[in-house]
Amino acid sequence: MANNFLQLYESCYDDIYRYVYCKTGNPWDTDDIVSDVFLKAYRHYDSTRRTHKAWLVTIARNTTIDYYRKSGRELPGEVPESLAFMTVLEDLEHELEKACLQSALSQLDTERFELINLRFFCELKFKEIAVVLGSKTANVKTRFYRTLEQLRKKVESCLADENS
Amino acid sequence: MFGRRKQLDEWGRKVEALREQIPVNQDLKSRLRAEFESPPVAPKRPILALVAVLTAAMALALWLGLGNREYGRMNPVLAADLKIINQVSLVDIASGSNMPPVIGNDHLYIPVAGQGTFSLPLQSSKQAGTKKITDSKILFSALSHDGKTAVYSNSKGIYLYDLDKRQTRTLIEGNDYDLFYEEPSWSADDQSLLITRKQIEWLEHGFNVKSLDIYAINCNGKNLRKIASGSQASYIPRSEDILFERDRKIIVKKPSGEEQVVDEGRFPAVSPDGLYIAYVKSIREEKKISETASVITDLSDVYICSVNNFADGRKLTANYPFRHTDEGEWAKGLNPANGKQTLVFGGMYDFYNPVWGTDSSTLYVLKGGNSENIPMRITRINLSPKTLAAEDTVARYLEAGISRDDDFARSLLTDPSGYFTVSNPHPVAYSITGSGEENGQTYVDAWRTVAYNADAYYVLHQIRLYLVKGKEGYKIERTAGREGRVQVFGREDGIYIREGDKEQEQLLLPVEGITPPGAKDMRRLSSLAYSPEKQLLLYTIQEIDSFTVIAHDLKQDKEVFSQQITDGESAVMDLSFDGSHQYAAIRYYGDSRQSVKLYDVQKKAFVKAPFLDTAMNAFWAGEKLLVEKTGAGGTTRWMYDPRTAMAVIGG
Repeated sequence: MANNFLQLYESCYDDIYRYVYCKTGNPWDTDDIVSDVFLKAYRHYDSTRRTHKAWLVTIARNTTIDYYRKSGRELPGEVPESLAFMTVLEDLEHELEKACLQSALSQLDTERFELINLRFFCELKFKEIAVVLGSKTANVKTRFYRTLEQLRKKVESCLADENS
Repeated sequence: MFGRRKQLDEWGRKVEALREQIPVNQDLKSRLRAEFESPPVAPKRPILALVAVLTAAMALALWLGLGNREYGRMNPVLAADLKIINQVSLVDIASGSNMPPVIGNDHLYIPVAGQGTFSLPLQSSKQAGTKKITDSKILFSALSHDGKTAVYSNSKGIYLYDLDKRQTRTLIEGNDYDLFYEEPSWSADDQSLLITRKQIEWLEHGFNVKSLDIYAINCNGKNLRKIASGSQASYIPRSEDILFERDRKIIVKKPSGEEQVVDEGRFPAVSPDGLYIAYVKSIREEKKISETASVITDLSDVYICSVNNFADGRKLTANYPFRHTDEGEWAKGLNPANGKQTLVFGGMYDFYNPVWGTDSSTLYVLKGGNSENIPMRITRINLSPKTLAAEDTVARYLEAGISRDDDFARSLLTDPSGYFTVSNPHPVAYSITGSGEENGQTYVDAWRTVAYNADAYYVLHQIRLYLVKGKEGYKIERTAGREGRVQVFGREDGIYIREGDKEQEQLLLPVEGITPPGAKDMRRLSSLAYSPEKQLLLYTIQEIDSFTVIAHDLKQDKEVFSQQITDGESAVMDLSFDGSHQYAAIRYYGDSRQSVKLYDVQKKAFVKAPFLDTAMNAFWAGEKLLVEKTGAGGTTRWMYDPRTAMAVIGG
């Protein structure tokens, strides 16, 4: 069991950390939550489970909600506010595009940002995202591409505004 | 349809590119892994005190502003909201050396005058230790952000040192007479450095500093240009502003030439995330004690403030006066006819050169002691916006007493004047056993164990520490002894125990063949340790040049282990059980050095622990062993985990 779990741990830790970090926005809470996530996973690990990563992400998702509930703080994501990808985007080619993508991401609602987080930062497959969200793969795919479409439109509209 | 999907995927890739910039705490990863590598017996919540484990990933943490959709916008923690969650001295530096450490490549680099630069890993490792990596001429001043090039200076000039190739090239040289270049610091892109140009004029006795100016220079040694007057300069990350010191003032200079004074102070250092400035500031206060007599206290401390709000500066250390003279007696002895007299008290410590860890939440600072021969030390301060839990506060307090960071220990008390340390019997272990509330006040229960050096005397004190919570976290208000005191000690006929307040001791174990003091063939009871939980007695018989460690199971009344230590002329110093009573440390002198052996209670055997072969001054902090080792030209402090055989500097 230990070896299998360690393999899972090694392959998923970074993604789980990033996923939780995107929800908390700070390393202190992230460290606490990620520790809890893997402790819970360690206790309940079952090597016969088929979708380990989705299972871990589900634990991470629920643990984050519980963490904020217990600490009496507002649940992350309940108040959609602007995301500040300020300096993150420094490497993008165009300053303007950078600013526009930043703005577009910050305007996504919680549900759509969750899709971005799960797909890009946590690197889940559509099938796995469906498991985490309790949805159907086809639905996830559709919503995901709608989200990207929304992003694209917002960025393009932003670019057009800026250029005019 | 497919064209649109392709276009969307392209947008997706742009978002995906952000992934690698989201920080991941790799130190936490390795620590958690170690927990899972241990046998899967009722795992505890791993690393509760994670607030202390802040790694390079966190350098990005505050400024990324990723996530936290409840707060959303860039919402960095202000300096005023940071709490000090630990302060521990890692290294006692060799006498005469007072150069600040350099942090990078997950290592602490310590330049030691006359010896060279030493490196120590900052992460837990089975191969933890101190390594000398340069000769005495190369004493690191700073490391490039890519970790490949160190810069160092001496009276001749400033030089770049390639860590892989071990090659040096000249950046700039003065004349080794009245023109010097020093204090190099790297730009964010590692393409240029800020340096201080110092011009002096020699006098008949000594010299005057004619000018101190800050210059920028490309790392190929070209394009030397003056930036400002001052010294100790560094770039503020993600801006073109520079931070420096001039006339004991901390100053930020903008590219426009505008200068803003941050505060009075010295040794400014900006955190890698560009959010905080650390510096050293002295506060001088005068108290009039009579018409003709005054007492001045002049205390230096480490401060930080936010880069975007200099006014929120706050003190991180808790220096206090070194009162070498009784001021009342001094005033009484003064002759008023001699006019006004002043007595000056400096601090118990002096602080120099704060250096930030790559995580921007750890600060390394040089701390020199002014009394009791406390040497110059590298002290690490851990910061977090979170407050410590009550149990962690007590743990930090008990550990600070061991590393003699008395200022930090005092800062955890509501009444610091009540703090004192006892050197013999000396503490050998503590373990936190629980916490709760009594009449509405938080308390923490702990066992604190003390022992005499090389003597059959071991006492377990059960103590209850009462705490009050303030803005900065918990502070200890008072400590009460509980009835659980257990004394175990040796006499000529055996080992005795006295429990609680009982006046009468009881024979725990008769031991035969003990010689009277001064006997030619010495065979005496020496250090011992007792585990009430395991009903196990670990004791030693000291002979002329060796000693024997014996474990006696009191439940079965049976000797379960016995081994003679003949490591040169060996003399046992103390024994102690860890908080779980699974391991015991045996500290002894042997073969002209101190050493520690580890006894495994379950296996009834010594455990191989090469790291401890050269360890000194063992102390159990719960289930981890704090030890000192010789290294980096002085003494280094480590926390060793017997379960993983890994050690980490400072703990």
